[in-house]
Amino acid sequence: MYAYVIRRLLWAIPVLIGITFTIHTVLSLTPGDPVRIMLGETATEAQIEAARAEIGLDRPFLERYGFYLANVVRGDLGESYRNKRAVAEEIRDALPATAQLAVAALVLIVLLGIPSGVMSAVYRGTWLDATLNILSLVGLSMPVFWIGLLLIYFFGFTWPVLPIGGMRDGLASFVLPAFTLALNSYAMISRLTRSEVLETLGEDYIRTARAKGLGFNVVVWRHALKASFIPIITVIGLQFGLLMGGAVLTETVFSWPGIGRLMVDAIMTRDLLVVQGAVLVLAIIFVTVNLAVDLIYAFLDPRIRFA
Amino acid sequence: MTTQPARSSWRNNRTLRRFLRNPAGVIGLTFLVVVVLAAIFAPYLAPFDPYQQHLPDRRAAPGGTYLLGADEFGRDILSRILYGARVALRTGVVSTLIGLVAGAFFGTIAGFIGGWIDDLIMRVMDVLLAFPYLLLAIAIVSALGPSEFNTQLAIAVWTLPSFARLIRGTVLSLREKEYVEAAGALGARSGGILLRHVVPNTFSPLLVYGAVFTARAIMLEAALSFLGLGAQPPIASWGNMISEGRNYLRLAPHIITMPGIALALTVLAVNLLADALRDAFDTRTNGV
Amino acid sequence: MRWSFRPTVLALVLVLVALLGVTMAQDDRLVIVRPSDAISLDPQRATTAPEVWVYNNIYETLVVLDENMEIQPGLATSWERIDEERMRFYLKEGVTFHDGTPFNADAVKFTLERVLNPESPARGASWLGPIVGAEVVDDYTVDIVTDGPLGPLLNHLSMVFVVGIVSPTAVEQYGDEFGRNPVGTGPFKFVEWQTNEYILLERNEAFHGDVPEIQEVEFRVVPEEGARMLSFIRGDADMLLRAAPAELPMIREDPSYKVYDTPGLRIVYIGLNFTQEPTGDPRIRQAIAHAIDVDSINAFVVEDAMEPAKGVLATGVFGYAETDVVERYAYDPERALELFAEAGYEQNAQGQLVDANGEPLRLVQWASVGRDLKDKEVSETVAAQLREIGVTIDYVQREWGAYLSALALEEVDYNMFTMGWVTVTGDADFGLYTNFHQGFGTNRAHYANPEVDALLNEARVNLDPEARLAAYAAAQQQIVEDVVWVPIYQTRETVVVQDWVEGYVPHPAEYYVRLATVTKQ
Repeated sequence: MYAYVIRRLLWAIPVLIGITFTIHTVLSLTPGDPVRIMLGETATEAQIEAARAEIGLDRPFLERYGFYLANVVRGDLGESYRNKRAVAEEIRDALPATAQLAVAALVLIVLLGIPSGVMSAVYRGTWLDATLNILSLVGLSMPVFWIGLLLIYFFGFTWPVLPIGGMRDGLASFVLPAFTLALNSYAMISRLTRSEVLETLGEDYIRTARAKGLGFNVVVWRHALKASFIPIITVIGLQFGLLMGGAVLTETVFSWPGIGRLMVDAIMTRDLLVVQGAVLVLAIIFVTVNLAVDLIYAFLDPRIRFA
Repeated sequence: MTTQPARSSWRNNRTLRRFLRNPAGVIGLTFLVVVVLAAIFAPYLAPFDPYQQHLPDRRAAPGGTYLLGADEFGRDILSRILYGARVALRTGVVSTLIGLVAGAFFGTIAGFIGGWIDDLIMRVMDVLLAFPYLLLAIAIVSALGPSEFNTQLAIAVWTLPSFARLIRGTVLSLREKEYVEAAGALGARSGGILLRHVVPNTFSPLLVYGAVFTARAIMLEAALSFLGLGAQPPIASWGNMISEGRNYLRLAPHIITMPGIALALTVLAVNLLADALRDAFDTRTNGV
Repeated sequence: MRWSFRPTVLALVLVLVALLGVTMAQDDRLVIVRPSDAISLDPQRATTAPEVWVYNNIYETLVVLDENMEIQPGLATSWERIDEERMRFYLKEGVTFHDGTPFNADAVKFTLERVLNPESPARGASWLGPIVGAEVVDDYTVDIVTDGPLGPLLNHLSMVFVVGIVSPTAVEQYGDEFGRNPVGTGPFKFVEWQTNEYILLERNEAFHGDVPEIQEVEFRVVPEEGARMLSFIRGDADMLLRAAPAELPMIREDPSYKVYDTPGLRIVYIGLNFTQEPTGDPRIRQAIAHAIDVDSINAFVVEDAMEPAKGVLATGVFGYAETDVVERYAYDPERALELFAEAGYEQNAQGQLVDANGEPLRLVQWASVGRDLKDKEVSETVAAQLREIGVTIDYVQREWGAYLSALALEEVDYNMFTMGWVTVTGDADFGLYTNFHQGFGTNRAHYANPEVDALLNEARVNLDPEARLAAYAAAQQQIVEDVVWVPIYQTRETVVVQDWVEGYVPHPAEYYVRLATVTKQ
């Protein structure tokens, strides 16, 4: 098993290098000089030259990438062009907000998605199933930022009871952004749960359990759902990665101080090392979560061997 | 495909019957047809020139001269929604097609040739998949400069790995199948094998994937436009309309509500269609 | 199905708990909402409005530019000219930095050396022009030395975003993190900064002037304009920077709010490129000026939130002179068509302007997004107005970063561009020489008129204010006649507060949001 984990971790290395290299290349090809952006329209050429030299922007891009990689290996993500802060510091400031939001959204997804999926399966073919199905499709079809704006209008103006931005109001701050972020993913979990539960409900041991006289509810919630857990957990794990990255829009709409906004701001100001660092950290989280999911998978289902 | 005419038409008929039995799918398809017609006949249907500003009427409420109201420049929102349907459909179809063709290309190569080429291609796909959602698209559009086509290209890059994985999987499973091996033994050229067997076998999952990704492409275009990285103004795209109107949220919420409804309904219609196709073809496409 | 409702109940409980968590506004804290966060609170590191709004309450300068654009004592109580290249400043005694470090001549010297450090000069170092450094005379006397005479020396030393005096011990202690741990002598001290959410300051009990009544100041970031307006309107914040123009009329009428405003120093304009055909042709430029309806842009797009521009300089700048720009560029589509015809472009059957070969009159227009108030909307309207009379417009819109850099590239061809210019020093030299002198980097119209160059050169070296004014007046009229810019508006610096906020004094320079005198009732 250790060998498996180590192999998976080693496997992630080329992917991580590929990610940083891709983003480095794309951003280096992006027109726009971070120095000009920083200094604004009144900057003189002398100011621009001095600032460019100071952050080493006059070097060729492969050299800068090699330099970057060497530093990353030593645990140094470099400095922001904009404010000279360590990129690691910038990320450390922004990551918790996004992680908390993603967890809140995940809780909503699980609390709403799994029960509605089970209900759908149990009442397959009824109006309840149809309604829940349509509901999840509607959720899947709503543009996140649009719903966010409408929620801000409604809860900020029409019925002003909830905070509409920032995270200073404790748990209340999470209600609207987490709901908005969860909307699209809810559908996936709900639909997956439905199909998995349907499948297990058809299996022999469930029928046996029913025949043994166990209550229907017990069978559904104890046995069928338990058996469906593995694929559901896999997808939940994948969703977490998506939610972390997908927070860009939600964070912009709800003034959330997270890593999505950090990255977009950094792209807009061509703050290359911040984008690279943030993408790298998110990818590491993504890879780690996937690995963790696989391990849980194996733990829950001993039939699976680490091949 | 001419080799299996009987089987193909039998299958299609059964599929078609199953599709027609699903009211949600039929509703989705009908709405989509309406959107397509609206897009085609926009110049005849639109009451106003979608680009004509009427500054004194800016933010006019729905009803009256402007059925769905006027935007922040006094442009007719209904006319712009009708024209916007063109951008939405174009983006959905073009970016999905680019993603599909490129994905099919890489997926087939990876599946057929295998070995280190397979490894290399699939690692590259892993890299693309590991990017935080939206971020690569944002970076690509920033690099190329925002325009309708560049947005479509960025979305295509995002859909590419999913298509590549799908096709590769199908190719791999087919390679094991006897009739392909047999065809190979009989001396049929790889290209021929490919066309004759792989294409029909991937057709149904591809159609489902295609529909799902068309819906997502339309959403993603709107999201990029929201961040100012979509089609250039004054082009009437729904994403642009929401993006430009959002500053008037309190004074004139209808400016973003109307195009948002058009967007959500269209995406919903495509999703309903995708769902019905999935059921009709009986394809398993979990995780999509 | 008893079980299935548990999660739902749990969710409801969570929501209820959440609702109770809504915090109440505090009486002793002033909350300000603004569109974007600061980059750094180091005045030698970051020089744009989002930073200066915050740190001009933390740092002070030797002299201060007041709201009437006049120089007042700051950390220096008086000054005298020693010779052409040397000015002596007598410093206020008994002032300490927030970290307890005493303020003295050494701190002034330290700050100037940090600004002018050749290895890593401050962002704004080159704005100081010929200033070469400070020499300590005694603990509370310091000489500022220039290389050659510098007329507006005091103006330069008032720029907190260049020469805000920093605590030498704090700079040594924090290094590159100084921008996150700013230490100055001002009325407010830095407390905490959560990136992209808020910056918290508290009053400096040991302030050498009048200690502010407000205990704490919180600068919040709300990037979405709609959400920003809503959060202010519903009372989440006491003060709003960069209000949405469309909502200002309602806010002005509503007695629950107060609007402070004053004409600003920024001109937002459409520039015309002299080296890119067809805008090299003066008739085309004049025609464009007549085709743009500046009044309706100001009325309907900018919603009268700004002042219609009366020239290429803001009216409050030293050296501003009246020109005939308003009459000369009056909206007159008929006249525009005549001028286009003179230049060889007539409307065809479809109403499109084409030349003799049927080639359309094509202009490449570049527009920035999100830099100046309604810049994108202004540009879009200009494009629509030109299209209306048959001009073919290639419209290119970029977010600020890509935009500014692209205009600097050789290969980018543009006929028209949208830009704003703020004359930060309050002196015409900074507004005219930079934009209209041949070959200057920020002369984005590539305007070259030897006559104007001569006038600008003369005004730069002449120490007689009257002579300078005359030269600037002549230059401005010539620039207007050559149609280099079509000025759209001059900013109004507008700050909106709840009715319980008192004592705010608006400043024409967009950077200065000074909070020391503000109180909450």
